[in-house]
Amino acid sequence: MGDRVETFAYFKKKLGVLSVDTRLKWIAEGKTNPTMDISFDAIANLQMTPASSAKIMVRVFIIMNKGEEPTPLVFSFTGLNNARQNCEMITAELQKAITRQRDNTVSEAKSFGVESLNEKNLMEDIDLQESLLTNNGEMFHTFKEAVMKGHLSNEQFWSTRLHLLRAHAVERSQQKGPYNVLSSIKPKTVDNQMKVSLTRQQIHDMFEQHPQLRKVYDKHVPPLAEGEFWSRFFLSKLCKKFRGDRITPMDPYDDIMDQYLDVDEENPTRKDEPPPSHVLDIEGNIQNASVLAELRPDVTMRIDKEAIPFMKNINQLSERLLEKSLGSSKRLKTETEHQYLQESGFHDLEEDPKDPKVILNIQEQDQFLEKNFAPSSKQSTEEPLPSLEVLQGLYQEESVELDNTDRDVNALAEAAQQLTHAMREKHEFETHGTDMNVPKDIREEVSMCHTVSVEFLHQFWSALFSPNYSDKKVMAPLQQALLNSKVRVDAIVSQAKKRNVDPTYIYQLVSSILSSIDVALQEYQKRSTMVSSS
Amino acid sequence: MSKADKNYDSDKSESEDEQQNGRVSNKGRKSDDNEGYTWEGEYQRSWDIVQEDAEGSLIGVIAGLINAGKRKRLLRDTTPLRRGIIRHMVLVLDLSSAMEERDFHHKRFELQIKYAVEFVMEYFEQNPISQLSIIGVKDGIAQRISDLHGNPQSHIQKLKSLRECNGSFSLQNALEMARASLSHIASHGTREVLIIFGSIFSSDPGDIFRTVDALVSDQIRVQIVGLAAEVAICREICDRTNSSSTNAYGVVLSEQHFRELLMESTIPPATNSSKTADSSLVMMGFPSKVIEQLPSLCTCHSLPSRGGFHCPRCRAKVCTLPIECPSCKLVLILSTHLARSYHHLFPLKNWIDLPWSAKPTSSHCFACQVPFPKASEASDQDQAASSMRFECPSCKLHFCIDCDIFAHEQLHECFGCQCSDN
Repeated sequence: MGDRVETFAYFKKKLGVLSVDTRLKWIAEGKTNPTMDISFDAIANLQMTPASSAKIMVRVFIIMNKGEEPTPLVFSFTGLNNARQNCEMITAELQKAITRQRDNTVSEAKSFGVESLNEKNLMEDIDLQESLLTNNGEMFHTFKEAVMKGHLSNEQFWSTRLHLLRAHAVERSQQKGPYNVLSSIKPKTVDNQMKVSLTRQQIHDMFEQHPQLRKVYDKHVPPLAEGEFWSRFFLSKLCKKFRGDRITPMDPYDDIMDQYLDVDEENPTRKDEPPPSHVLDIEGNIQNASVLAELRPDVTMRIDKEAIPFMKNINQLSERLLEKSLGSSKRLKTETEHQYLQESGFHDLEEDPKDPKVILNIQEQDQFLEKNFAPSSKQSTEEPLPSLEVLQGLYQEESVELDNTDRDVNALAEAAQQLTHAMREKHEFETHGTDMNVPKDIREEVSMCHTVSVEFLHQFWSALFSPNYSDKKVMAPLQQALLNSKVRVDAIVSQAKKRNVDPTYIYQLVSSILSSIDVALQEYQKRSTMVSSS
Repeated sequence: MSKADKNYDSDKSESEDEQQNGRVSNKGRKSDDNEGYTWEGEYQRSWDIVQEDAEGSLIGVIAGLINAGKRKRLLRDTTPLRRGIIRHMVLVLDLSSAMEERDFHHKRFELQIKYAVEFVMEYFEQNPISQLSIIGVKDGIAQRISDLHGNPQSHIQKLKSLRECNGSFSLQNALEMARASLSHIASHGTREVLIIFGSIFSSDPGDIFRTVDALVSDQIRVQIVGLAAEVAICREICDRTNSSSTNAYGVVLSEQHFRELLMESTIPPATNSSKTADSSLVMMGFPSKVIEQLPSLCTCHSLPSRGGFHCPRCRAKVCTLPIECPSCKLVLILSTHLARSYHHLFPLKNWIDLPWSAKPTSSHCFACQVPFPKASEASDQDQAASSMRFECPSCKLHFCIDCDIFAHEQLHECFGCQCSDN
């Protein structure tokens, strides 16, 4: 990792030096330029002769040109000193390098944002579909019944669930923002011993944020154990330096770690760093027009000489964090004149932008409602209802005593019965709470058949309302699926009969879905006759 | 900020002014009676306001304070505006470690959940044909707490099952997830996000300004309620995604203010005039109720039930309304649901607070028959003070303060206008 690894090796019967650094190189003996110079992402495969064989060789498959079959390169170690160890070392290094390369490219390729999640991508992403199905049990059941048994195609199933796929894709591809890992690790004192827990991800992030730490680690870990390295590191002054704490003379002295205290971090200069914006360019502005060059700056702007290294350290760390998350952002472009004027202009004095609201033009609300109740011409030709006086004239008596009037007992009884019936229905109207009174497996069959029928109906109706409703190839299989559902219900009923369950009960349970299927088929008939007759 | 009334009469004591106007008067200069500096006048000291009366009881003062509070009720702008009635909102809750702070007597997290439950109930009451989805941000990652649908009970259940908070908040992850949830909404519905933001920073994996650009192009409005302090990125997001006149970003001052800010979002937003070009007709179904003798399976849950509603197009049985029919995707509602949104479009006009100078002759409130205070014969009665009578501009009848609040906040109708012949 990191450092160069070199050994002697034969290539095409010639002796040379094989090295693994940032690339794989082989330099023939006596020459200065490498004969073979291969980057790691061109390597497709790696093979090594087993320990038992006499010959010790490494075979590297590389892809010379895009789209071609990989060609093998053979490096032989037979007859050289430490052949077996060297061979294994080279192979191990190459493996590490290749996996590192692959991880980097994969994480870059992960797209961010919803733009790439258009319909085509979602439909093709089988991995995403599988993951969503494993998360959602109900959907998986429906999928199993409908698609795996061949009634519905994969595209049809997912075409109505694209929004769920999209939401799931975004949920899966989320990443955590970068943060200062070192300062979040606090060793705890347990039983007079300091304990620190580190995850692999944390170690990886720390190496990214402090490249010097990685170098120290690589140099010293083969001799030191990993645990010992970390425990020494967290107690050392080097750790304090990275965190930005002051180093006091009281801190413990550590011979390995303290070597690196004075080594300054190399400043990676970004090649295409854009010039800073005019507003923020401190150096440029001081050069341009420095008024206070002679005077001492205000108390809040004075620099504490001792704090400079800490500030530099933390600033560099922040830069690294930002670069990692914003690296490819298009906003790091050179600012335009327009942007500069936007930032430095006084916007308080501008007029407020016009209010874009829409005012409804409603006159008096009462009149508005009244207008809607104007009688239509049809209604006005009918006779108006008799006036109140005429109706009152019909009842000659002043008052009616209900107890003494003639009654038709039967009619009254019937009316009373109807009333109580209506009241009971209203009272008992409930949309939940009853349970199916059938054995468990029948219940599951019925539920499954019902859910799948709902799915078919859904697909049917969306196809009917889509532009290709007249396309027989699309509609016929759906129609068939609906008819099949009916057949399946019959099958369940016959199964239930064997188990002594009342078949009418089952029919009643699915009555609403059966009537929906009938309605759907009728609608289709109507439309296809309309189409054929037009 | 509200404008303070300028009162140059330095003889009046501070507390009397506050009782009358509900605001503090701003004296222009250091006055003679030991007032101190002008800025000291801006602080209301509760021990100054509350004064005991002759017998040493505080009843009268308390009643006065309550009345003053009632009259402070926001007099809303009642111009009828075109509003988005069919709303699709994503509520983003903050489940980061900043919510473990106890600055509201309880933890911020508990208060957030309590008000979120109230918000859900109020939202579905005011906007019955709308949908809501809830997302929580924990550990820098956004998690879906509940999907976009219109059933308040299931949202409330999921809210009550939330337990712990840790990690940091990520605005970008929350907004990207909200965007993905709202991407398939038709153009006649509104797309909104309401974020409760308790921390003062956001830890994002990428460039948040890209996300803001995407939000603007998708026409998603973002409103933020901050619990700690005003954060510049929140201000930027709200300003860019909303029209310039709405103040979509608010920072809470107290528990009550937190609740008020949340409830402001239950009012349907006014549409931009740029969207009027594409007004379209929306097909909706009005189902009929059906009662059955024996239970049958409903299409929405596949559970047996004895009653339900039949979709008018495909005759599928559904359990609750409003809902989207599971087989033919028709929006099924009752007419009462639409009627409940009417009062947003046709708001009830504000009633006029009559001063004594108008010489009112009414003796009792028209609606509840509570007697009004009588005009006293003494000439020192202030002609500009309120006579506690509120007049409706259309029917010219007088009502008391309680009826005013009831009519404007609950009923949305004027009692007098309904009874009269107009």
